[in-house]
Amino acid sequence: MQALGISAGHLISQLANLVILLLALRVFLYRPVLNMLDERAAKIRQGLEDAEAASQTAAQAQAEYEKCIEQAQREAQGILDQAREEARQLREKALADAQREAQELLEKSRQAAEMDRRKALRAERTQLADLVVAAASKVIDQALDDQGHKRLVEQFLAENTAPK
Amino acid sequence: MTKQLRQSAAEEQGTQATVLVEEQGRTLAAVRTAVPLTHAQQAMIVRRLEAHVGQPLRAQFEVDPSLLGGVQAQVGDQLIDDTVRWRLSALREALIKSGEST
Repeated sequence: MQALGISAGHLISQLANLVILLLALRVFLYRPVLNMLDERAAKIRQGLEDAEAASQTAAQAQAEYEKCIEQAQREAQGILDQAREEARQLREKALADAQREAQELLEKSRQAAEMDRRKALRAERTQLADLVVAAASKVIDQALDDQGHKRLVEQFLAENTAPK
Repeated sequence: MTKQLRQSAAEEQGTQATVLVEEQGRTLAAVRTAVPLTHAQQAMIVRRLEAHVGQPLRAQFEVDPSLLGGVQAQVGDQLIDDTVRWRLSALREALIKSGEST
């Protein structure tokens, strides 16, 4: 070792210094750095877990939102269907009412027309009957002689012979 | 026929019917004709009416040319109408009613 220029004492002191340096590094550098790295890893892990949790929460919220939207759409469709059904019923009722009123009006008109027709016919028959009776009265008044009056009296007597 | 029509006529003219009048124990019969009657005809009519109502009557005869012919007798509230005017009136009603069924 002498030939190589290496002093044993110097080597030992160098080794001691190296050990001391390693110990110091271990105490003052490696451990804080490792602690810091562990903390950093823990933070990252926590962040990932938080992100996962947030992602799940967001997914749940999305699902809830979609569920609410679907429910709202179903309710809106139900309301729309009900409104359409009510409108259809109202339309049918209005149509039925209008048809019934039209039928009643038509029936009243028909009855009024029939009544007018009967009145007119009766007036015509009455006028004709008056003319017939007036003409017959004149003819009979001129045609009836004493013999005719006598026969009428005899007819009256013949038809009123039954005792009461 | 005549009896039924006479009763109808009596109902129609019921408001004009003379209230039953009794005078000296006899009911008054108002007899109207289109032409004057002979005494014999009047006597026969009274007898027929008495037989019809079953009691003695005192008749009062009147002439009404508007009857045209025949005899109309009113005894109390009963009217017996067998005049040409009544027959024509019945004919008029029949003519008016003849077309009402159609």
